[in-house]
Amino acid sequence: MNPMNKYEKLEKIGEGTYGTVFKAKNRQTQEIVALKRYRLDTEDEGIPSSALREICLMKELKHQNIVRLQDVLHSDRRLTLVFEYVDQDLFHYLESHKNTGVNPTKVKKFMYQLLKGLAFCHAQNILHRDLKPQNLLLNANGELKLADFGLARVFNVPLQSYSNEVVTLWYRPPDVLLGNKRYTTSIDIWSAGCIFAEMATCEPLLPGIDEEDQLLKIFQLVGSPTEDSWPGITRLPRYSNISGFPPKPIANVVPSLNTTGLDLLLKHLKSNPSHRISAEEALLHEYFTSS
Amino acid sequence: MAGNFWKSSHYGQWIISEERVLEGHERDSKSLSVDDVKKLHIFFANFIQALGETNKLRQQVIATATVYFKRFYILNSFKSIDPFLMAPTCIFLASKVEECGPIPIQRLITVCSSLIKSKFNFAMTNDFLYRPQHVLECEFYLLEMMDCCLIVHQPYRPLTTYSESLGPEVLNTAWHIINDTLRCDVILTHPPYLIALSALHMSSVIHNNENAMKWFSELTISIEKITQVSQQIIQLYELWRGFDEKKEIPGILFRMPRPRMSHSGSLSGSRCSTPSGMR
Repeated sequence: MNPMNKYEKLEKIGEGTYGTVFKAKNRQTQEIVALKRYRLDTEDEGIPSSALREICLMKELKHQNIVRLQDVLHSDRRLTLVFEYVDQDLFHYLESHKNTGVNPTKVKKFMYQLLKGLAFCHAQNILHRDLKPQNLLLNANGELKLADFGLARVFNVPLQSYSNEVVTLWYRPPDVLLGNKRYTTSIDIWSAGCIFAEMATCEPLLPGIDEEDQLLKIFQLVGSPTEDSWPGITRLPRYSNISGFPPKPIANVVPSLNTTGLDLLLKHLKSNPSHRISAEEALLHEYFTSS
Repeated sequence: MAGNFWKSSHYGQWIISEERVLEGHERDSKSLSVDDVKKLHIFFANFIQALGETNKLRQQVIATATVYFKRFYILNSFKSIDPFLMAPTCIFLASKVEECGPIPIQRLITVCSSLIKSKFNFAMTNDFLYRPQHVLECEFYLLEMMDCCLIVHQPYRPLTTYSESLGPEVLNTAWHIINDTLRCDVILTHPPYLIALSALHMSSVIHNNENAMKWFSELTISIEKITQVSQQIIQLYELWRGFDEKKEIPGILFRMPRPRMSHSGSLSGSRCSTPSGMR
C-alpha cells in the first residue's frame, strides 16, 4: 500500500525551494497534520541533506515548545515529513492584532515559551538560525512552538563557516551582517529579541531593506559599537565605519513593555554577541518572575 | 555529532540490551554460529573503515556508519539485505548526516568494486553488482529501520574531554582502542562516555601510568561499570587474535543467508523490520 494513502490532503499551506507543505488528515485517527514534502529530484544525492538535517534534529528535539515530527514517509521518489498541525503562526497572529495590540500578559507568555523552546535547542547544541514570526506556531491553547528547522544545525561540528544567507534580514544580528562566521546560540537570541519587541508593538522592530540599511537601523537603535564595547569589531570582514549613533531610549520605541520587559529586551539586543543573555538566563529574568 | 546524550534518541531509543544483541547474533543460527556473526561484524567493520579511508572521511563519519550497520544487522537477518550493499549505504548516509557533504554515489560504487577486487579479493569471487539506485533504495530501508534516529554519539568527544589531564600517550592508545571497539557491540549496549573511560582505563594500565590510575580512583563512577565494558573489549581482542580473516571469511560468507536479486535488479530481500518496542 502506498503509505501516502494514510493521509487525505486538504490544502496547500506553503511552498519553498525544498518542496511543498500540505494540511492533511489522518484517515484512521482523523487527526490533522502538516505534510512537508521534499522533492528528490537530484538523482544522485538520495535523501537531500536538508531533509536529513531536519529529520536528524527533530528526532532529538522533543519538547512542548517545538513542533513535533510524527512520521517520515517515502514513496515513489518522494520524501514526506509528517508534523503535528498547528493552526496559526505568529506572523498572522500579529497581523490580526494590529489595531488592538497584543495583551501584555500574552506577550509575556509567548516570549517565555519561545525562550523555553530555544533553551532546549541550545542545551542540545542546536541552533535554529532562522527565527522569525512565520516560524513560530500558535495553537488554540495559546501554546507557542518553534518550527522549520530546515536551516538549523548542530553548532559544534568542526566547520567554521556557515552560509551568510541564513536568517531573514530583519531578524539577523549585526555580527552576522558584518561577516562574522562563528555562529553561536547568540544568533537566535538576537532574533528572539526582535520578535519580543514585535509582539509588543505588532510592528517589525528593524525592517531593513538591504544589508547596509539593516546595519544602519540596528546601530541607530542600539548605538554604534566601538572597539571598547566590542573588541575585534573593526577586523570583521564587512566592517565599515558606522560610528557616532547614540542608543535610542528603548522605552520610546517599545512603549508597551514595562521596565523589566525593556531590561530583558536590551539584554537580547547587544551588538556584541558575547554580551547577549542566554535563553536559560533569560527565563530567570525578573520580567517573568515578578507579576 | 553533538548534543546532550541524556536527552538524545541514541540514549532514549538505541541503547540495546545485551539479551537483544545475543538474540540478534542467534537470528541466523541455522547457518551461522554466534562467533561467525561476530567475525562477520569484524570483517564488515574493516570493510567500512577501508571504504571511509579511501574516500578520505573523518573517523567520526566512519564510526557513525559502522554503528548504523550494527544497528541494522542486530535487528535484521543478513538475508534481508546484502551487507555488501548495506556497508556503502551506511557510509553514504553517515557522510550526509555528519555534514561533510555527500560522497558522489558513483565514486562510492567505484571505490567499493575496486576494494573488492584488491584488498578484499579473498571475500568475493564475483564483481560488485550494485548500482546507484540500489544504494538509494537501501538508504530508505536503513533510515526507516532506525526510526530516523541518525545522530550517533561516539566516545571520541568524551575521550578528549577526559584525557586533558592524562597526557597524550594515554589518549593516543585509548583512541586506538575506541577505533577497535567498532568491531564489537559495546557501542550498541553502553553509553559512549563509559566506553571512553574504559578505553582510557585500559590505556593507563598498558602504560602503567600512575597519575592516570590515581585520577580513576577519584572518579565518582564505579570502577565495576568501567571494567564491565573493558571485559567486553578484551573478549573482542581474544576473538580477533584467533581470527584468520582471509582464511575464515570465504566460508562464513558462503554460509551467510543472502537475499535474492530479482530480474529487474531491485532489492527483493524480505522486507526489513522496524524494531518492535523501540518506537
